[in-house]
Amino acid sequence: MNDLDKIATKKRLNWADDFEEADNNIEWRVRSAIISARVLLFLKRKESMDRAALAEKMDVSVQYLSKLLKGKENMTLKTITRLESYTGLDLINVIGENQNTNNVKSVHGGHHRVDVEKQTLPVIHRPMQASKAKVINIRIESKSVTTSSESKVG
Amino acid sequence: MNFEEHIATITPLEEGYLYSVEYKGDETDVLDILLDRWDDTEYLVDYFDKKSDLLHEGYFTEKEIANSVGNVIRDVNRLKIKLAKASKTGKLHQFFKPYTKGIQTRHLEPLKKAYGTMPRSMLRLYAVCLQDGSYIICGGAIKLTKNVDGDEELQKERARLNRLRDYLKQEGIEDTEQLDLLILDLEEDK
Repeated sequence: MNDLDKIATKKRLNWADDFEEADNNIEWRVRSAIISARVLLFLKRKESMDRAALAEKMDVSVQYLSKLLKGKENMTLKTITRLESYTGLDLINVIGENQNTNNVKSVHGGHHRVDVEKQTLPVIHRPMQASKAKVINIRIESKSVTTSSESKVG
Repeated sequence: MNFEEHIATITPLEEGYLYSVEYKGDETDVLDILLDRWDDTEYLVDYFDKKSDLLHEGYFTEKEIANSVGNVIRDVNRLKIKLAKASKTGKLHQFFKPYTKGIQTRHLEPLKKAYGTMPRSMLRLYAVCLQDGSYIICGGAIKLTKNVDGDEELQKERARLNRLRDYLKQEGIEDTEQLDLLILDLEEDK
């Protein structure tokens, strides 16, 4: 014990207990924060829509929306899509049918600073008609994908 | 935290090695406050929005603000890990540099400043290193530009240094006259 320990009135020795977990979650946390920041800036600029109005449109409580906008939530695609619908913001893009997935870089930048805006995927600029629908380039890691019709046969 | 702040106590984070100042009126120590703020999207959005006229010659788009928020959150989480590991392993000295050169102290080392963990990181932490090798974190800042906010930041940290010197004297820790401003650089991971 040194002189500082003698004059200290309280300790906070567990200050770094959850830091390892924070490190493991950092890349999705960064993306969640960027999405939240875009929505927060939209609400700051848009006089006609405040947090309560957006929550009402999304059919969620203001408390829940506020929790989402803290940028610490693992938002679902459904939630992000609804945020996009009601704000008009382009928060996340998806792979277009003409895009080669090999061109998509890893989101994880290791210890290098990454420009997340440049890493988002291209937007589908036109709605896909059912009759012209093709298989979209989506990388699915699962080895066995069972369709609903297959499962009925089985 | 403001220019009128006074020290309430010194909080041990690693006994005998790492401490953080708690200012009067705050519920916790300054490191806890800074790490929490720098990980708070709403705080960062407000901060960058207010400061946006300092950036990009007065033009800072909403996407750039959002990206800066993301970058700070990435930085602070890596800074947390690095600071925690360095303090647990007794390697804080590897990251600290003098803020001003040429001043040597007999009993107390000068104030030190920690940068964020990546090039061009905007995060800074300030600390004092005592003669026995223990560190006291006393402040920090998001530094947006090299010069525009530099003077105010320096002035504030010098004010903190003086208060810390007075506080240590008052608490019976002597030989604080040579305390001065130094730099702590977390990039110096040797």
